[in-house]
Amino acid sequence: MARKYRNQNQIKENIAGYAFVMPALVTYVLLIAFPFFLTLILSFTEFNFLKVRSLAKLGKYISWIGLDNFRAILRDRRFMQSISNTFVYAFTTVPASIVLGLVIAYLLNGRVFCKKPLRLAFFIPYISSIVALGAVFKFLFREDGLVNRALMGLGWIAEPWKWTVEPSLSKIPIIFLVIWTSLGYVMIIYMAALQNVPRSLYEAATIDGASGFQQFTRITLPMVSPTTFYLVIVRLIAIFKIFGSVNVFTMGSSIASNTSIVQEIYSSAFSDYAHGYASAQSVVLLLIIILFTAINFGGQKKWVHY
Amino acid sequence: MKKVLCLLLAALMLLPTLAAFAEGEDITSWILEDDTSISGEISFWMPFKGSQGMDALIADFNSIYPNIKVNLNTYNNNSDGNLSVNTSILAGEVDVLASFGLSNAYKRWEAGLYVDLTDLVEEEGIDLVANWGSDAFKYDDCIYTFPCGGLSYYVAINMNAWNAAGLGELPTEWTWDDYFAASKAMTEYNEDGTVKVYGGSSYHSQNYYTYVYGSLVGKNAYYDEDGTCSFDNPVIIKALQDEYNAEIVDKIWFPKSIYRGDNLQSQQTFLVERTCNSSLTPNMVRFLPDTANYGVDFITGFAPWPVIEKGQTNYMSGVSPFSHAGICMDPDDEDFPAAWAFLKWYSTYGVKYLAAAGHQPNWKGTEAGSALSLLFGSEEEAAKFVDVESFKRVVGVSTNPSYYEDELTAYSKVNSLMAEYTMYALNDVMSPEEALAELTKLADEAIAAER
Repeated sequence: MARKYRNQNQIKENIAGYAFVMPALVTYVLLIAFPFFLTLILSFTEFNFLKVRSLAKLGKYISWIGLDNFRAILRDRRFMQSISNTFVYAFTTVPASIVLGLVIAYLLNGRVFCKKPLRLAFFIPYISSIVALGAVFKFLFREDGLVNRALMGLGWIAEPWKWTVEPSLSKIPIIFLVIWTSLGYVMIIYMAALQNVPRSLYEAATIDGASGFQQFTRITLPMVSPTTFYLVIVRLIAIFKIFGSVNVFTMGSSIASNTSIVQEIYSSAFSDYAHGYASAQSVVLLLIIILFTAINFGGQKKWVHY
Repeated sequence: MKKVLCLLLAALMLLPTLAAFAEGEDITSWILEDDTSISGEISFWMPFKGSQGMDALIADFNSIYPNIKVNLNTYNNNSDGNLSVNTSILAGEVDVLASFGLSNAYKRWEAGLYVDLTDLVEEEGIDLVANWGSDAFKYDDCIYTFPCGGLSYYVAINMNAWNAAGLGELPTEWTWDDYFAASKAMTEYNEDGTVKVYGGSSYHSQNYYTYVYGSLVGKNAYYDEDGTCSFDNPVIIKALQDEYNAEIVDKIWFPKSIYRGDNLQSQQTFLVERTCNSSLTPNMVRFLPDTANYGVDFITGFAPWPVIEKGQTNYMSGVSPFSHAGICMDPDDEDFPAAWAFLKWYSTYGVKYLAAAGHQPNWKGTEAGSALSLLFGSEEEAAKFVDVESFKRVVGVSTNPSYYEDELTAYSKVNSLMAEYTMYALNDVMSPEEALAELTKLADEAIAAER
């Protein structure tokens, strides 16, 4: 009898558990799992969603073309260029924002005048609209913008540089923008990590005669290495998916030297309406992210101290 | 015998009159429904706002069809705006749609977003050539839209600068060399020798140098007769080289690299910032009456699109088809007759209202001179803004030879390649010849891949 009640209670508990999980589960299935698997399937097809008249007959509008989209990607000059551009953004902005974020967090973690306003000042760009910030940066870097005027005023350049349309320069404003906007996030995460480094380690090091720099490199860096690892992963994924800040700068310029992978995917999907091809490009992006995340996880044993 | 000859002669003399009468009947008899009291409610999607002539258009329509309610939805004619239009069509929110730019119309024909009007056109005996000058705008031999709106290409000129440079009367025909010479004469310099105001400017879009070739051949500036791309044509190579020289070497044209890099448009450099004294343009007239945003202290004169050699037929002097109107509503919808009545009226009588937004009616029955009064209210008012005589001579002359495009193989890809490589030349990254050689190779590959 007691066992029967236990079973009934167990069932009730299970039902209640599933009921609590259900909203999140349904949301996950509908908004993440279903689109993910649909993208995988569509990457092997030719598909234009504009032609779909009835969802019941969806199959009629989808043509299976095997690996053709992936073969086309290998010949797609603009997409290959966008991969190379995105790698440049990743390998410049991620280390720079992490190093600068750590330095700023370390400085703001000590005794600093106006600590809170300074924290806020560094964090505001992270929570601001990227379109608005991009417009400001574009204004700064335009032909008669502040950057050119300053450089000319200093006598470093004779004529204004074409930051937004000259291929060799066009990534630089975007790199500055991305570093500036991500600095606040990196700083906040590091500040939390720094608070967790035991004070006793620094006290012991001070007694042993370690300098401030030695304490930073021998205590702080190893102790925050799990945070650094987390930030490398998170920032790399964010930069591989970069869109808004690049789009503000590339809008209208037509050059390929500063586009990003997601921008090319967007263009294939919503300018050319080649949704099968855009799905294949998305799968390539996914593989790149998985590859880099796996490399990071593989390499972490050598430098991350838990 | 003499009587017979006289009768025959008289009949021959009457023929053109009869033909004209027949022609006149052909292009108006089908427009209005027999019953103009039909009722319905339709949504009309268009890139222009109510204040840009669309409120007047709907009011005019309602004076004939009082029981059809037309709801105007204004969209942005950029890729995001067109995407929202397409998703709205799928959601059944769009009844009558004016697509701007052939590539946008083509994507909708291809995706079946417009209703096939072929049977209705045949039933009502609508003559596409007589009404809009061409029956080339079909997809799979079906008619989806009427090519009723157009653009007129010309050079807008600051008459203060023109007169100060002592350039005399505005030309009725001129060559590119003449325009470059005038641009040089109108260029103003600072004391240190740097340019204060450029004498001329291309339009802010990248493709305008290809219209030098378009004005010569009359159609499809991107494509040769054999279907390959035309970017290796000597006329196009010279046109880009000329633009490069004007912008980079001689510094007499406002640089396109600044237009593209700083997201500027030619009406801003001509009317707001006053950094150029003349500009190639298809729509400058739209901004002239807007004194709140574009108020100027000079009269704008108009010169025709320049030609390569005088005497050449100038296909850029007429009105080129640009906007295409059709129905997106389900043909079984009860409001479909109202949508059809509106489409027919808009594509003919109503299309003159495009002039208020700087575009031109492409319907052959449009009353001459209506653009001037729609834009400025009256000729007297217009004289405060424009040189009326040159306006009438140059802007929106639908009887002049017109350039058009009907070849669309890999159009989107070719167009984006053209934009990219043109900027490499005008940013001085590649020479114009190198850029066009590379562009030709890639564009031909794109065309071959799609064929």
